[in-house]
Amino acid sequence: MALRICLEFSGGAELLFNKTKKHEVTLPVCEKDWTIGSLLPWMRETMLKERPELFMQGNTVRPGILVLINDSDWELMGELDYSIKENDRIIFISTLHGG
Amino acid sequence: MPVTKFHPYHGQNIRLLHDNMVAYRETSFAHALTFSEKALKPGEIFLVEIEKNELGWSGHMRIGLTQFDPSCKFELPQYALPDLQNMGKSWIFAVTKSHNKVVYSDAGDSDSVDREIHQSVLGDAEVIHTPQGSFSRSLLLPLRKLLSNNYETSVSTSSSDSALPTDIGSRIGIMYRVVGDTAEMRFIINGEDQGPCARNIPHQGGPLYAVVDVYGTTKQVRIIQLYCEGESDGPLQKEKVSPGRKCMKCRTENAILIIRVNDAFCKACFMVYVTHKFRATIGKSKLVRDGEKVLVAYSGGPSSSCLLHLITEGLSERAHKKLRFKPGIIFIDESAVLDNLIEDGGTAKDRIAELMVDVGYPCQTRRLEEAICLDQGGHLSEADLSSLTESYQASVCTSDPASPDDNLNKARVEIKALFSSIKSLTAREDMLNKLRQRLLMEVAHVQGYSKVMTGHCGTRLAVNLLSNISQGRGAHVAMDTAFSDTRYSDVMFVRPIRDFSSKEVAMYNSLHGVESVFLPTLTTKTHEGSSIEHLTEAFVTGLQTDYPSTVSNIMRTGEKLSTEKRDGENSNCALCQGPLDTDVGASSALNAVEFSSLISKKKNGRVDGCGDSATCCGEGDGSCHTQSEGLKKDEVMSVLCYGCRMTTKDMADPTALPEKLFRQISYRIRRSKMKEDIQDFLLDPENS
Amino acid sequence: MPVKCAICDGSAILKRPKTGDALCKNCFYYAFEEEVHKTIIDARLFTHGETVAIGASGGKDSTVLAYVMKELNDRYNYGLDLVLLSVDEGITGYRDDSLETVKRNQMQYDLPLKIVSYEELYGWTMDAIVQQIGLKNNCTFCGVFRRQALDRGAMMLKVNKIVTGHNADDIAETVVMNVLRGDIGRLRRCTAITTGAEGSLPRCKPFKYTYEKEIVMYAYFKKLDYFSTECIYSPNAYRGFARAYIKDVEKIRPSAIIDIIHSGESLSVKTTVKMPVQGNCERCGYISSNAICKACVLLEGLNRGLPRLGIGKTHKERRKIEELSKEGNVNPPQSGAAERQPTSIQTPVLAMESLSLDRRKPDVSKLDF
Repeated sequence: MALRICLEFSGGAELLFNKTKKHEVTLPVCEKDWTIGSLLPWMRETMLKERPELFMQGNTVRPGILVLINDSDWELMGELDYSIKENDRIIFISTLHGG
Repeated sequence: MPVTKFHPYHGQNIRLLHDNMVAYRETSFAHALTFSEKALKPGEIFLVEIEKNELGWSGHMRIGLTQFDPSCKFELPQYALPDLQNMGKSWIFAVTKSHNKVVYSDAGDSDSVDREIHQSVLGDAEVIHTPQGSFSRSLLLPLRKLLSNNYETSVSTSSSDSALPTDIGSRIGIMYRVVGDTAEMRFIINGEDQGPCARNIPHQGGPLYAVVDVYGTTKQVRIIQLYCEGESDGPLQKEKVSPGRKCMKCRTENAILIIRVNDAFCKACFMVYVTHKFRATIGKSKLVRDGEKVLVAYSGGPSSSCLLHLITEGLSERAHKKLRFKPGIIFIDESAVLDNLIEDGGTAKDRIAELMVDVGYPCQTRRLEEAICLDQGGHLSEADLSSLTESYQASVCTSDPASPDDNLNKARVEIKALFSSIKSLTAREDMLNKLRQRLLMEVAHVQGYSKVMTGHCGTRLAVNLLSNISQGRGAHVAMDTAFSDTRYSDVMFVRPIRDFSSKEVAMYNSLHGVESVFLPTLTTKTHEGSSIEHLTEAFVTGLQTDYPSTVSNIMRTGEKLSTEKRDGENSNCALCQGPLDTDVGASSALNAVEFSSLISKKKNGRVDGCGDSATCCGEGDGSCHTQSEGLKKDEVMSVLCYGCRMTTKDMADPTALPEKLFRQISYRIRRSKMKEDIQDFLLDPENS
Repeated sequence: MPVKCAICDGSAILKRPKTGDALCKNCFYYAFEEEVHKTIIDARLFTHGETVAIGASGGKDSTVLAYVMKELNDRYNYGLDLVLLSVDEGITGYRDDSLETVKRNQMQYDLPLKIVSYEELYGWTMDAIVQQIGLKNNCTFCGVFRRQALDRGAMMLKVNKIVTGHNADDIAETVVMNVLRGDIGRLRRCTAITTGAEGSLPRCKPFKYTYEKEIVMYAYFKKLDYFSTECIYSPNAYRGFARAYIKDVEKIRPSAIIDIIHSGESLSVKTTVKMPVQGNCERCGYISSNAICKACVLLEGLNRGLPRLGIGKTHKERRKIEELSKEGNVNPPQSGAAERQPTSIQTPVLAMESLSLDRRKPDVSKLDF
């Protein structure tokens, strides 16, 4: 089943995503559950406009980018293993100086 | 990891929760004896926190040591006091509102229950070492006390803020240490060693277990883990957190954020924690007086937006322990030096102006180029600045690029020239920071603000500290990261959110819906190695991800360094006002590096050849005949600190500083020459 | 067009990493050696007639140090008796090869050489230690043992001073690491050019302001014989972070290494901050901030088959030791150390005081110096 979720960017992270702070996206049907671990590469392929290394490092987000899943720190939600659910709101906040 | 737990054998009314780390008394007030799972070792601290109280009973928790082994499943008495005590081999006391430091004299003479001054077993270091391992002193403190003592090394508050030993949140520790052939027992209540309360314990007679009677009003206690395994050389590595963790404060709500190293907080407790931390930081400093005019530096970024929100909340009528200073807000428009990145800058700046006005305090926008409109005395003259009066209209003419003000336009050209003459991004960033600081100081001075508050959070300050070390500014790092920066004579810079991590700031803003406006900086979208500051930020945040104590370790380093400032006009750098750190002996890095550049140029003797030529820049053999108002590069350097020298070295021509800045330096040089000339006639060398 | 040497106008063949100046080979040697000489003179490192041991590992730093020390001693008539001192950790395939290098250096430079081995000092080779402890934490052993081994070896040789090949990069890295760890005591000490003056042999670092890159260049052009294989056992991870950072900062601003050392030199510690008091190990007499030095604790662990004793914060092993000691020694004697530090909780090592010392291995404290 396709999943509709909301992705938000702030603190300068939006610069890499078409300077748009809020993106409503639909994740295509996938055999396995969507997790943050599979969302990130998908975002890199389909959404990132420039400089992927400023958003991702290896298979995870670059240190200094805070990830909130429905207003909770992703560290408490299982990080990359978190299973994304319909209507989840995932926020990426760059805490780095200058984005 | 050796986890400290309660023994599975306990009083009938006790239910153990959370993997036997929490003891809850389900009913009644008695039959609530619990024991440590393992016997305590000498020096090991067994620490519990009172998590719940129940009104309607009299008396509180009892705690002590016993040589009865719970594994033998001996018949448990109803109470620790007096029953278990009477069975012998047990040393138990009640926890009371004011713990009495019972000291028995060795002679057993009842008259000499002396008030001997005991020395704390805890020492006064931040890290407490026991035979079982080392841990941070803050673990012994109740959260409330910790908040009001954030990062303080010495714990000596006797304020009404501190929790009673019987309150929820209070942390009670018990330990024994060997003295001669026997042991003495000590209580450590909320971080304070209460001194010996039982002596002559025959610890060789059998293992000593901690015993806790969850008695009377005390309803639930939790064991606080003090000992966990870690690597020997580096700080603790991050632990993977299991999803669905509860808040460590209220224990009921789901946690939303990990703060400090491993504390999970829920939304409500986080809000309380953050607000308390902010007010406590300001209150504890005792520096901000009622009614004092405070200039709040606002950049639109997350940290200063968070600061502004905290201030607005703290000043509002509904605030508990209201803040009482008088804020004014200032935004500095740095677009003059960022012109290649100006896209959308206009709308963002408008939004910043709107947000400032919305807050409802006096506010103003200044342009960075005003920093070089400074006169030689170091202060702004009215003629240089068209509108220094405060205004509720933030978008005054200064943000209008078509401003008719000639001085400002000239300054804009000059500042652009200055920045394009600086070759490295590192030095440009450094110059920008210094000019910004300078402008804030000047505006505050002219407008009668005695303090400037900046929104530097701990993460930012930790990055700055390391980055400054790497730029040779070791002498300034303590001032740069402390709560208060007193390097300017009549304006003090304060950093009220220095105890916040950037994550806490981001979370605060997210939860409160605080809007921040993104403005690009010099290093926006550049690669990691574009400047030392940028690299250091990537390094520190990267390390912080794996080692969550990195930022606080760095900040701790800063706190232990001296912020003492030297007096006299020639002891500070002419550019950054930091202490001049160039008066070093022969055996020093500065001397070594100067020698290096000397020796790999020309053979000895020829180097100084042109030193007297008044028209020479002081560099090389004098053939360039650079004219710079008679000032040589060496002379300019002589009034700058090591770090500012590094920055000016990156300029195409260090003597090409903006006119006003340069004049100020010349003034300093002339003054020191004058002083040199009259040196022999000065009677008091201190009074210069 | 050939680049001109900034000193002699001959044709330059290298760019100095430290200053960026183009120099010819001979002018580079000249500048390099003069700088080391200046460091030695400014800091008054030696006095005429002293015997100085050069800690020689066979690596580039100590090889170049030995060469330059001999050169300067002759040229400027320091009047020093120089000896090479090597430590054999007992690492097959690493140290035995590098020791061959040191032996060749001895011939080439005509300097006496003394090799002290972990095996002779402690009764354990690193190979044997790694067998016991595995690859985690072995660097702790090696580092702690090496520090003392040099001292012990130097005392056997009755020298006045030890010089080591620590270069500017090493010192900058240590400054950064101590900032990251919040270790104010070490931060303050680590930029000193001479350390350990009281109680133990003074150690100095004539390469304190010398860039690692220049040492490599010097060795390369002088064709000095050194051994450059990394230790086969894994390096300390956390130090690696600091090293990587230094290298990255150096890329941005080459002077950063010296700048960091300047920072380290100009830090002043608050007078209210308590510094650890340096005393002497009660067992072996070496300088230590604890009652018993780390080497003795580690050694005790090894000898008792509890190699993790004294490492990290796992104290199960320590408890085991206490239990063992209780069986054989029910009435542990009280240590004098407890009186020395009345305000602190028993330090971990104090627990060791009660041990009966049935050592299988020779007692290091009884070595005849």
